Amino acid sequence: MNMRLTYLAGLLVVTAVLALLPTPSRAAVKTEVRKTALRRGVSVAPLPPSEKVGWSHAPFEGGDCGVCHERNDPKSPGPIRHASVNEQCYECHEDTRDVMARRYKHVPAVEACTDCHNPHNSAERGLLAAEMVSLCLSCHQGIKDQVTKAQVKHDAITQDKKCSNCHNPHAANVEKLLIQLPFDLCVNCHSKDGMTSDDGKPMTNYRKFLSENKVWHAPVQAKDCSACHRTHGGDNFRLLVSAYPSSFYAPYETKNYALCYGCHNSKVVSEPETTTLTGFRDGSKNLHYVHVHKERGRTCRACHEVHASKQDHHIRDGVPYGPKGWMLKINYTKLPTGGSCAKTCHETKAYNNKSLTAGQ
Amino acid sequence: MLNCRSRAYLPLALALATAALLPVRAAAGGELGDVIESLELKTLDGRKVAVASKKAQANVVVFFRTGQEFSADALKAMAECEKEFAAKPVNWVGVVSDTEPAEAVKQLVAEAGVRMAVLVDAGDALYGRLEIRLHPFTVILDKDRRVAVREPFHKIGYCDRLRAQIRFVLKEISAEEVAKLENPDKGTFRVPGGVARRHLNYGRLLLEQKKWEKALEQAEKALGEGPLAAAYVLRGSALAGLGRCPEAIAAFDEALRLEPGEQAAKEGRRACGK
Repeated sequence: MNMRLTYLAGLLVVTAVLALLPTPSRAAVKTEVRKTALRRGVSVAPLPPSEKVGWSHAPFEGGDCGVCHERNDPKSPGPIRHASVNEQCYECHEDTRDVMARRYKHVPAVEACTDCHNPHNSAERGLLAAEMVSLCLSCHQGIKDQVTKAQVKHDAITQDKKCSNCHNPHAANVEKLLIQLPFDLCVNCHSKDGMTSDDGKPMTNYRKFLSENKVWHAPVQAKDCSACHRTHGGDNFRLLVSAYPSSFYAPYETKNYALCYGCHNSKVVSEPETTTLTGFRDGSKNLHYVHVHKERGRTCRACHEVHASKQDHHIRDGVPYGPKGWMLKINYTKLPTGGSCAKTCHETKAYNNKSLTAGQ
Repeated sequence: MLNCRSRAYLPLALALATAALLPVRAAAGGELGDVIESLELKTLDGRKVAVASKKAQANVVVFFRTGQEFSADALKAMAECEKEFAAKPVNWVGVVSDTEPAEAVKQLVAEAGVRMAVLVDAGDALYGRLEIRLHPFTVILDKDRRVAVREPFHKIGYCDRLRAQIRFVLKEISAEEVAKLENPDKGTFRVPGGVARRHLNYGRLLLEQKKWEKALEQAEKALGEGPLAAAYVLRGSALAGLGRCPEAIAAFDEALRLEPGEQAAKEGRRACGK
């Protein structure tokens, strides 16, 4: 009798408490029944016994079908209790509703969580319906082409959190569902000493390098690494988006500098004479043209540090020479009427961009 | 010592002194603060059009060229912005070098869907005057033709930046709000308190099904994330369901200690006979 009374008292308490708890609305007027993922068309049923299960959804694992379905019967659970898949999921995962309030939303996440997640169990973490990269690429065919055909690969795609190293597949505050602006994401990894590229060359610790070199290239300032680098993989060295000579010397051809001319005006280099296009001129003689238009033409990197430098105009202190990488100083000096460069590359030469005539 | 009257004039004096120091340099280069003199250029059709309109509060001058991906992307973004600011005092002009093939320029503009007049910069004079070395590049002049913004292209977030910069020149938002675009909130997977909320919600659903032990488990998991009044209420309710009223009351008391107004805890206590 006592036990029964206690049980009844307990029920009374729970009923009272539940009535006061702020539960989401349950107006399941018409239940959306999806047995397949909306976009990918695959089954969202529990994995067959033959498949290895890595992760299970707690209510499924506990046999609590009624948490999501109309009935608590595993053999016949009936439809879900809410009018849409997402409303059903948000009943517990209400924090995801907050995430989905962000400006940039992944369309499948808006439509149905089950497009990417199996609500019962999965071999994959996060109940993903398939391995993350293959899951994402099953819709993102353009990226799939880049990733699979790229001659130069980016480890960020396949290591650690894979696609979600950089993207939030639910929603984000930055375009392309990026978790942060590109620069902030890139330096998360590219801020270590001892990293090497595919070809075994040492890679720069950018956090350190940029803190030591305060004149930043505009895309770096704008945290816009993807202006120059194709982050999913590409055919140019260093994942560059377009052509740029990989060597120190190269005969000049406009198409070889497609990377730079993606933003910079090619006439800055291609016009022998100018009084408007560049400050690096002696009178009207375009000194970019002079340096580059040679059989053994100097590539941009001969004088400019692409990411950041200590001097204006991204002019580097020196250029590496020989197998030990000795630094040959450029010795650039800014002058009121232009500037000058001293040995090592050549004898001291000054230029005047305040005059229309060379040598003034 | 300043008297009250002197003090009243002090801000005015400071404002005048500051204004005198502002960099207003007519017909100088294109640095921020420089004033660009009234200037007309010819359009592709040979009409003369002013670079900056007298009626506009913001003059958006877009330098671009043909055969370049970023220029095409920038113009497409501009087309969206043009529509968005159609009812506002914003004047738009595009500028191309006179070496650009006119037909290719017209095609690019038509494909992007921009409606702005496209001006031809003979001898790259305006490029040189504004010291523009990049394509595409946007300069925004305020109502006094003062250079207020110099914006290169950005592969990510260009449209957001452009929109914010125009609104800044229209004085609709502050410089701080523009600067916030440089540091958007991190789009993390988890939000603060999110895991605890999941356990609480799941626990409440289990309570509805009278699965007291499992609900209690969820309450403990939620409490593992931090001391939450709602989690103590869940613990109390689950314990009450199990007929363990003394322990339930202790949990409700803890909830009330954390949140004295917690109604569900008060009801729970009362129903347990306290």
